[in-house]
Amino acid sequence: MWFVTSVGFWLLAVAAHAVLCRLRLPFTAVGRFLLANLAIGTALAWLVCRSYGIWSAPTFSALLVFGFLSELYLFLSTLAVASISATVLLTLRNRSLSEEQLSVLLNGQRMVSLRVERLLAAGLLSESASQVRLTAAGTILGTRFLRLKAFLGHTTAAHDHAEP
Amino acid sequence: MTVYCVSGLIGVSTLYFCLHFGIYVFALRTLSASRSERFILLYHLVAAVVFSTLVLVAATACTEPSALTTAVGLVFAHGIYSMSFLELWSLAQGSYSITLLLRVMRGGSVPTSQLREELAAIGERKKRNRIAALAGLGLLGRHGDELKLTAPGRLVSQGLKCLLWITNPGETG
Repeated sequence: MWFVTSVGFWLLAVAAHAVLCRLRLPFTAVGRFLLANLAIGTALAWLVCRSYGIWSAPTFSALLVFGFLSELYLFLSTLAVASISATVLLTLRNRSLSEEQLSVLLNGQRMVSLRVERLLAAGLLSESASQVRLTAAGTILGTRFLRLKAFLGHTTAAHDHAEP
Repeated sequence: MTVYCVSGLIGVSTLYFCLHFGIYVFALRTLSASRSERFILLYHLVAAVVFSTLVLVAATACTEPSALTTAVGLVFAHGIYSMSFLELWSLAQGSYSITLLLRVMRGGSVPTSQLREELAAIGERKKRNRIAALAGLGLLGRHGDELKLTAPGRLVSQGLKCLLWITNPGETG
């Protein structure tokens, strides 16, 4: 029962996300999901704690199942929007194209422009007089990623030439 | 016995998570092989399969329903741990947006047109690699000069379309 409850609440969070994504709100898609997830996750935590007790196996497991499904959904939904592989698959969905035609549709400059727009919308970059610079939040994120890259052994040069 | 069984499962699993992460940090992180996507994916995938099998078998041997419930929770905890690790690892290794962010960080203030020129080449290279990778996975096929989705490719594409319907993002790419 706890498993079904957990999956049910996760589906509710996804439905709430779909609704929030159609409203005019000052949040990114990820922010909207975190908002929906926080509300629905809190409701799930309250329900399972009431039903099974705080320190019980079903409470612990229900929250972990909800957490995993939420992370998986967030990963897949950001992948669908921003991944190059996903864009290739979506572009070829209803038609077959040559590599040259695909290159025209998904050219590198357009990909950079889209990412700049997203980083501007997320408040990580700011633009003035056709120049972009990092905001405070962007600097914090950039610094953290530099540390993470150093920790994982991904050098900046190797990163720029990464072939994922 | 039941209490020992459940707390034993949690204790051993916690120790295992620490060990799995510790082996990466202290032994594998510096190896050049550990910088390949395939290696890091297998390191987590194989561990997750072995861990899940062992923890579920151990729980069924406990004969108490709460042991199995705990085991299922631990399997999902592994899912959260591995997915978080792999997401951060791949973002640090190859994210286009992070590359862009770090380029601006190095330059301080960069003209948008220059950024577009400089990073477009990386995007083109990534696109070629992804097309080859998708073909390798059997999601794309070549018919003469043209690229076409295979049946599994159409299925994945349909799934992506559903996700886009939910998130309603406007332009993708």
